[in-house]
Amino acid sequence: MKVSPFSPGRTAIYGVLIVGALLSLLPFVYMLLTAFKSYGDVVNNNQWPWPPFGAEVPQFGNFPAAMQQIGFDRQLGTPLFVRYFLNSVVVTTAIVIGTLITSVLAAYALARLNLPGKSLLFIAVLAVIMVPEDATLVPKVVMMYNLHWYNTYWALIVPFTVNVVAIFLLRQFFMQIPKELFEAAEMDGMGHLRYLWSIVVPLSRPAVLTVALLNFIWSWDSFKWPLLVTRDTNLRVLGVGLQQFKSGEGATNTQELMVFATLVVLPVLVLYFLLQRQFREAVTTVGIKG
Amino acid sequence: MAGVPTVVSRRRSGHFSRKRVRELGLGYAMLAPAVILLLVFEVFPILYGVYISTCDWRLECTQFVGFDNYFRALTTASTWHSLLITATYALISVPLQLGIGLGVAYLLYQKVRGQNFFRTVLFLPYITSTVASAAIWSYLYSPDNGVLNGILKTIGLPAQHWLTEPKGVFALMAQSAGIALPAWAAGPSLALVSLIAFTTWVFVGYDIAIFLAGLGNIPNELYDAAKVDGAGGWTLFRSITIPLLSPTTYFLLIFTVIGTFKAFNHVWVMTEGGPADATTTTSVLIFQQLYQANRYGYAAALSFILFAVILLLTLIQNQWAGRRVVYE
Amino acid sequence: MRALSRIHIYLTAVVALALVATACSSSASNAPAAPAGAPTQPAAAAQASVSNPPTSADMVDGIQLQGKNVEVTYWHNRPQQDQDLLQSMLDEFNKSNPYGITAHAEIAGAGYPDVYNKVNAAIQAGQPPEMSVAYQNQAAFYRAQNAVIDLTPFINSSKYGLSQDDLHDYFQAFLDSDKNPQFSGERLGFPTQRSMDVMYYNTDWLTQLGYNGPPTDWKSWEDAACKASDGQNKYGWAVQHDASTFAALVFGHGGQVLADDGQSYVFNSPAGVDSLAMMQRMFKNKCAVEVPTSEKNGEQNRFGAGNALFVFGSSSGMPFYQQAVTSGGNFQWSINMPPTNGQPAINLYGASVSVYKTTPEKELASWLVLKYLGEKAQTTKWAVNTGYLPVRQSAKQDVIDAYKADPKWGPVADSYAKMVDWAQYSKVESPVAGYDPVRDLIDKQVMTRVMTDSEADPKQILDDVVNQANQILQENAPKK
Repeated sequence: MKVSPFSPGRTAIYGVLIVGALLSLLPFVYMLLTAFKSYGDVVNNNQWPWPPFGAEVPQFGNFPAAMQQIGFDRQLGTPLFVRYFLNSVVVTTAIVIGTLITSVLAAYALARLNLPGKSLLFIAVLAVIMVPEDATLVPKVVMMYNLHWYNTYWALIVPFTVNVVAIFLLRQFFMQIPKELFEAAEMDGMGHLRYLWSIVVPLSRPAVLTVALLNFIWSWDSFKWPLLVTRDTNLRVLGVGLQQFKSGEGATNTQELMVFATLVVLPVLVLYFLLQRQFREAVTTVGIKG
Repeated sequence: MAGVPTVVSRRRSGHFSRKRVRELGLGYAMLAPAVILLLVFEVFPILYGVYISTCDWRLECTQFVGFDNYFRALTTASTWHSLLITATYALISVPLQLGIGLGVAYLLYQKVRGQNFFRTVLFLPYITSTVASAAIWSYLYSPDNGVLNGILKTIGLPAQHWLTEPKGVFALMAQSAGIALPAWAAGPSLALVSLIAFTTWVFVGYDIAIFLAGLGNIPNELYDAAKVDGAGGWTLFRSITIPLLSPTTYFLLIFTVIGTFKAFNHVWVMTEGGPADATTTTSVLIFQQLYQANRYGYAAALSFILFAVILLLTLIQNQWAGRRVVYE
Repeated sequence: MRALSRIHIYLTAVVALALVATACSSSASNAPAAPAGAPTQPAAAAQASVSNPPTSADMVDGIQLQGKNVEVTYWHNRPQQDQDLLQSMLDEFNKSNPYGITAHAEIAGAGYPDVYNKVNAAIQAGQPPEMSVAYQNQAAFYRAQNAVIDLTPFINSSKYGLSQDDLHDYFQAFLDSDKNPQFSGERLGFPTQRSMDVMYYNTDWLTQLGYNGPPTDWKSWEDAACKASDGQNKYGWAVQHDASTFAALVFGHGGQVLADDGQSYVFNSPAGVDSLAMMQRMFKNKCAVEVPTSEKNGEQNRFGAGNALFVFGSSSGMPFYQQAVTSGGNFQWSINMPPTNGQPAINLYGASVSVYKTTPEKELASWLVLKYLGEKAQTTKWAVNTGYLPVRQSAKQDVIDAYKADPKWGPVADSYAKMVDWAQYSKVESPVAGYDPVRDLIDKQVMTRVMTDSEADPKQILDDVVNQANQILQENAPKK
């Protein structure tokens, strides 16, 4: 929809986007600013304690302080933060890869193949995520004990390598690819799997990338499950570290909490930003010959 | 292109042709990893949860009680109240999230400058950890030293209690005009509405990202062709965007309904179900019954009641949307 | 190309089968519904007279630990710094104990539901931790399922227990709070720390208002709070959503939460009604302000910024209040017992450590760890670092000296010294099973109600909630 620049339509569009961006950004900016404040600023609700309104300096020291706060890893000789970070990277990457494999395969089968009982299976798969989490949490943990996966990476990774949302989202996208494309590929001697790998997935790049990104986000700061199924600190992840700042009877050093929250969100932001280019390029190559 | 494949498939068609069997085998094999993982790690615990719901469960099944837990749950006022709160929460949130999400995504999809910037910024609320975003919004809503009340005071309006206000929004508005509304017309509590504003802010970014992916799937040629025929903005939106976006919209509708009905984390961290039970969604009730009251079996029964409600809604949506979703 | 597809299929199938095989074989061999007690080990046959759990001091005396190399795991929910301190103390124990016991501390969660979940899952999987932090009412719940043990035989054991001198060195109020009325006074936990609900007050502000010291009766206290409030953002009393605050009021008005025999809730007594009516009045007159649930430690921040004259909070928060004040309004402050109507009373709370039913050897080893942590040197270190009270009276001076030696904690040291003397006036809320939902009721239906509704009748509110609370009590009482 091309509208000439500076038309009222255009201005309105920018207007809405800017308002939306501000609303999304302001709390985030608040988080960022608080990460550089001192505890006194937090207690006194001082929004801008630095020049020109105040005389303080930004507390860069908050960052190393927060990282030290959660402890020291004697094995690695670094703050525990590093350990948690590495664990998060390993666990999350494994989960993302696992989920991509299982959901791409399943979504394709549900979208393209003619299987009896498909719609029933689809509803059944969907039904699984309709059950609230709390009731099944303890049975799941008990299962980890029984599988001897308690306190291992298996418990952190394997149960999450399947994701109903991912399957559904990919299914929607795969169903939009015309049947004729497959028939043409079949003529070239391609089987379903080859077709899936060389044509469907590249065509569905926005969806596949979205699924990868979302799974990354969902596992990156998880803490409830890791806390339940691990005992060694060298298996723990970033989300667990973040919980440390929420101690019950003490004070929540809000500025340290914000530091940690910033550190946790930064990799995700970077990833999202890098993927933006992939999204845009995928978008422009989507044109399918009609 | 029409000739050969049709002839080939006609010759080999039939239920038990080799090709068909191979397709079946392949299909089930492709489904197998996901299905097996789901069976082991989701379905089995759920079945175990059903077992728990039929017991007087205190670390083990001390007594089999059949449907007693369900019966008790369905005849307790708190259950229905929580379902009401949950439904209100969903009823307001879903259209809000999807409407704003689609609107902004569509705007963003026009050739505007700084797309990357906008897309990243709008996604920020979704990726910021709940602990941090809750702290921020809590400060916004603080009754005695928060930002919103500060703004209200400077423009001469009375400060509000936001998350701690159990009175309905309509009742409050009527009150300022001097009218007293009857109880049924009071509307959702200000606490609930404030909560919804927070969660909408969190999830709109997610909706926008998904809508953008869906919009990206619509070939530009379609728009170009229609424009050549003289179609304007609204027509393009109505006859091209909406139908071709429908798979994505359907996806988001289903999952947003499921998500809002299960909503717990954001509710708990902001209000813990309060004031009194004004924001006690069914998930909050389940949490309280499980961890505070130690009523495992009862909490499990509540969970499955909630599940049944969500399933019913999903099936209804599936029926209604079935014809409306356009795939090719 | 076809061959490749076939290999893919076979691979997928093999992986799938492998997963299924692993899941099935393991879950078949360990049924998830493990009974609440793990089977006693065959080695226990050597002490044929020792039951599990041991029921007399003599049985405990008969337990042999030599050569068994017992390992004990201790689950808690403190942050990493405290974990490091705790583990360093346990490392000392591991080196010095003559029984070959190895103890290991783990963070099991950041809050109560986390640890609770973890313990529940562990018990159900048949692998409970040997010991963990647990509130008295949680311990009562576990005891009703025979998952935790009575520590009395261990305390009384002549070989492994506490001497009379040691027992008397402990603060009696702390020890008493672990005796459970629902289970004939069994000790379902043992204290390693305690804290009290104290009244924080802003000394400078009080002086400005014309007071020589903190008010000690409720009338003057209410007056002072109302004088301090300006209805804008300065209030006399900042109230957080915590049932312990209400309990502190009730204790201060001469009442109790639970009857002594543990058979009924009694916070709808005249003391309770007076407390609630006072609270309602103060909110109506804008002498008090509500701290929303979403603002964690909001009462601390308001106090530190000089916007709240009085706050009721845990004594373990003192170092944090100190931090908040020096960074905030930077004024003189102190703590006191809540006002009273004659009888001094202070709300004592804190989790104890419970020992789970495992094997007699592990239970004894856990007891020995607890005993060690309660010794003067350890309890001093722990108290100084966490802000909790030490469990031994003899440690009092050491802790005060440690605080005094640190210039940052100067005012805290004096406050601390005062507090240790209040231990004798301790009252406990309700150590029985099912108290948690009652706490929730008190917060949501009692406190929240009067914060927003100035017309509701306090007596009716309390009668109604006590009714509900008693039903919950009945439901959770041990089945006879």
